[in-house]
Amino acid sequence: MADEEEDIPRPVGANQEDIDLTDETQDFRFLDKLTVNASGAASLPKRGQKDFESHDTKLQSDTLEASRQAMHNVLSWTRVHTEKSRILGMYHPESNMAYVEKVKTKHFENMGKAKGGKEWLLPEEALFLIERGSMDCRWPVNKSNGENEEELTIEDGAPMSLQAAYAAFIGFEGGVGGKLTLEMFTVYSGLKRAGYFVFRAGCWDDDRGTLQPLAHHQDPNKAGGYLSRFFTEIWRRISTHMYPIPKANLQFGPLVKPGLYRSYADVYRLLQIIPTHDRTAPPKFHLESDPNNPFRIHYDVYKSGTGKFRKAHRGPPDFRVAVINARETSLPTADQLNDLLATTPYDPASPQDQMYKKLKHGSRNVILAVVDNGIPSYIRFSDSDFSDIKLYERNGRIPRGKGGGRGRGGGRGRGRGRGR
Amino acid sequence: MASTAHQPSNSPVQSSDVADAGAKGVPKDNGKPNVPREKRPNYAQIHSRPLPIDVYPLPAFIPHNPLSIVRVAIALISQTLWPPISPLVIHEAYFSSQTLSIHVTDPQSVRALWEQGFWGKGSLSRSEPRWLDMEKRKRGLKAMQTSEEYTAQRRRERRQFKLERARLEREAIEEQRRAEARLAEASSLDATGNDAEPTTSDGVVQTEALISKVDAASMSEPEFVPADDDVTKETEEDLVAESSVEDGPFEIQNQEHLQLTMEEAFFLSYALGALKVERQGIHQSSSQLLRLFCASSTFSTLQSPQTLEEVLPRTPIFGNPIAPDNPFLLKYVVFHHFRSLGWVVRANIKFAVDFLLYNRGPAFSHAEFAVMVLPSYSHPYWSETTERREECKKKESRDWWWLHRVNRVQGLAHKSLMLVYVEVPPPWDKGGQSQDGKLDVGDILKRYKVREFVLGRWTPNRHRG
Amino acid sequence: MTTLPPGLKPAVLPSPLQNLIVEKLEQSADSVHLSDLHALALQVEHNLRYQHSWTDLHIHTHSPISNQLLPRPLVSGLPPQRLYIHPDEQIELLKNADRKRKASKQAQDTLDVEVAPEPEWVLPTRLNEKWTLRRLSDVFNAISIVPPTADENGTPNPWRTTKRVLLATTDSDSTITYYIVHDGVVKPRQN
Repeated sequence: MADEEEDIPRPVGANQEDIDLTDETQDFRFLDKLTVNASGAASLPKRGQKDFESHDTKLQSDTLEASRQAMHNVLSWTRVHTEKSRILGMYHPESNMAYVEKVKTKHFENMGKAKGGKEWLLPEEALFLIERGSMDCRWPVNKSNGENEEELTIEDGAPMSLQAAYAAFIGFEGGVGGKLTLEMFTVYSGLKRAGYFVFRAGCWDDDRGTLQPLAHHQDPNKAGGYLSRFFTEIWRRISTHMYPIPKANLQFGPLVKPGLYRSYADVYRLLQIIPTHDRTAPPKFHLESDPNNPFRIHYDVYKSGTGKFRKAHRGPPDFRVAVINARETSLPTADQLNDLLATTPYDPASPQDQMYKKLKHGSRNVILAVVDNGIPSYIRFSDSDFSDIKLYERNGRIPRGKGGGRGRGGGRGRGRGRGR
Repeated sequence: MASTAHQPSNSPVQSSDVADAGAKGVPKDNGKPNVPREKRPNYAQIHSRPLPIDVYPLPAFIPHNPLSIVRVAIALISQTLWPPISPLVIHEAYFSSQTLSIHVTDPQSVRALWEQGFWGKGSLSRSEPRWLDMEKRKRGLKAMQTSEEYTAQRRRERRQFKLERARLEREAIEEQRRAEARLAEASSLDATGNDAEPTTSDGVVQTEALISKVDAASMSEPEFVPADDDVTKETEEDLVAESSVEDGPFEIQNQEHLQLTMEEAFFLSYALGALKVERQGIHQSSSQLLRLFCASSTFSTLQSPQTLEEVLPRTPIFGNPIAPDNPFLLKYVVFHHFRSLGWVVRANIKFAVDFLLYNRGPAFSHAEFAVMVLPSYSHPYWSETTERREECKKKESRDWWWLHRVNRVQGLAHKSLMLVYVEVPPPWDKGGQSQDGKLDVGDILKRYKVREFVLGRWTPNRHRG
Repeated sequence: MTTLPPGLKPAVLPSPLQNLIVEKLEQSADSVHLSDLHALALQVEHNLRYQHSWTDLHIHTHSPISNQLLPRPLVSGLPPQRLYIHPDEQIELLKNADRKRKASKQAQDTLDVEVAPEPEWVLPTRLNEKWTLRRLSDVFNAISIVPPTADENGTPNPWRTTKRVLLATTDSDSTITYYIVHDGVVKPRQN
């Protein structure tokens, strides 16, 4: 009897993208290439497999030591900031934001909001810049009363430490920048570091977003006009054999009563009695609005590659992210998922897409960022209607040149878009 | 006489075109000459019926072709005079309380049920019932290599590969130790250290050579393609020699049966009318089957000292009321939903999910979707009292570790995970108070509602654009 | 033809497994354990014998070391191949095999690692059961390292120092999944 685990294969190189590098332990020796100092005398051997036990060889202990040293080197690397890129900001305690008077660097192309001559940063934006070392944030200057009213600049304020910044910007419930949790910040900075542009969703301050109704799609295939659609519908009803299920059969079975059937499609149609959620109906909320509802869209995320991004006129986001704390919240119930997805726009796959792609894309979707003690993992939930895809009509029989004999004439009136 | 009427010449399965195509092998052979030695089974032909029901399509009607008119007329007339009844064959099975499943033992039924929709599993095989063939081959009676043997062969190859790799690694370590020992010796003997150079480089070079050998070995590890079922496309190449072998002189008793899950049996019986299930010799109606399966699904040895047979009341019609969130019912509703859309739905414990969805069946492709069934208590009835709310919360809550565990397997085996929520209606079973205890199955099933969500793992690196 | 309506087959014959279980339970071979658990053990034994070609199969109702009743009937038997090789044992075996290969005159491609199969304990379970560490330890406490077999003359394996069982989990679709469970931590094998 062979080892059971052999039945579960490893992904052999084919889908490199699927391998999430953050899951694997890194080989830190490659970090050595980043340091300015050249590495030591002997060249390091190539990365091999993980060793399960000590070999008692000097090579193994040397390799371990080299890895430790490489990590140490990288961490002890001195960061350098130039005056050109140094941003000076001031903390604004009342609104829990920070403002910057002189805008520098490209960061402000996709964060911050100009108001009253200054550039205002949301708490997560400010904290992100501080953590990177790009921004030097100062505590507000204490104007002692009665003294001469000289202009006190930002620079006179005491610099904020990183711990203070975390303490200040995160968790302040009131104010404009309220409700930012550590989990939300983790997701924010993770996505920003990965290269995305991240903004708060419009419903940040509300308990939940607004219902996104169904858009009325103009299907280009249907541009034929009412008359042709009318006739297609009639032809479809004539050529499709409808066998209604007698009451007794529905009660006690069999649903497919013994008789003459002309195609498997006819048989399958009889079998469809299980109700499904109607996704063509306008969405509705199932639960009452609740300020403690953890399932809300927090961030609108934009891809950065296009190069034409304008933060003031952003357009619809590429992804919508809801942040969840894995330790406090469990998997969403159907109601919670329904309500969450109802606030995302109706976005089905294009009709030309392949079947699996359509099913995986769904008609609405959202990304849940589940943060477990600081580690986020992202899961995409999409609302997919499998009843849309009638597999039995696609598979049918293997075409044998004689065209399968589906009743009279062309038998094409089964609805459009039947291509595989 | 009667039989010819039942098999019109244009039946999709029996037409001579198909038989020829089958003999020539898989149609997509590009016209290459037929290799007589090995030929993969024509799954398209074997599994041409997606359900154990026969259909009789009218032949194609081509207006300008008089022959086709004649054909249509003949078909119509013969079918009116001798109407074929479908399903032609009703298979028989019995409920086994010891294995909580339904067994089919008639060899033709076993074959038919597997071929016409991939129902059930061979109790001594990985999926397709092949035990008898394997046994015959073991005893030299049949020259057919089944996919079990192909898998065994692959496993042998893989094991060899791993052993070689292990050996190389051991050698590399030993060599390294020897080299270092030599180095230590050399440096202790030789004061100037001149001689140390060659030995060091020698030792290091040797070890490096061994290490690169090991690396090369790991790089060239044969690609083992995932097989969630024995019958995959990859195995087809080695399967099925031309089998013209006679059976041996003595009979081997077939120890295997086809085992159907309760969902499959209920669908075959209630929905298709293609299966009759008996229990203790008595044929079970759909209503009785429903009660039987619901009771079985909540039975657990640990909670009750009796056997299932003792727990089930003698006349199952008047049993305990069925809870609306009975595990069998929830799974069945999902099973029926996907089967009715044309998917082949199979249980699969190896992937830690409730069901796998196949497009045409395990013989044709891997399952694309893995399904987990979850109850949903949104009906106002369930939030009427605090007790009920608490109960429901306990039953429906799952934590994220649960999800990640299930999702992980999917990533490795390249399937998409689906969560299917089933709306649980308020309790509908009033106990045995109805006149004859018969259940309106259709009405019960229609009280439930299914909603599918497809999950995917999203990685920031991949979608950066 | 037959008197039955066309299309129906004659009465349903129970499968050999079903017959076996019913027969054994009627004989009340094991009257102490729940018959359901006994049926489960019979099912696993049948599977091991016919699907996986095990030999020397027995169902145990009492512990070989204490003679107490086992928490549930266990199966033991001899698999056709060795199920588990300790990493240190593997090193030894590889060395021997390599030596043999070098010594043999013909050029051989494969490493012939010969290792005799060993008898194993099998713990039958069902998929819907919830097992705790305590239950597992109850099982381990009741068994010996090597199950009692007919062949008492076999030399004991010096590397087999930890108890292990083969956990057999049955599903209602007849799949039985087998996992090797060791009583304690065991050094993992790299290959």
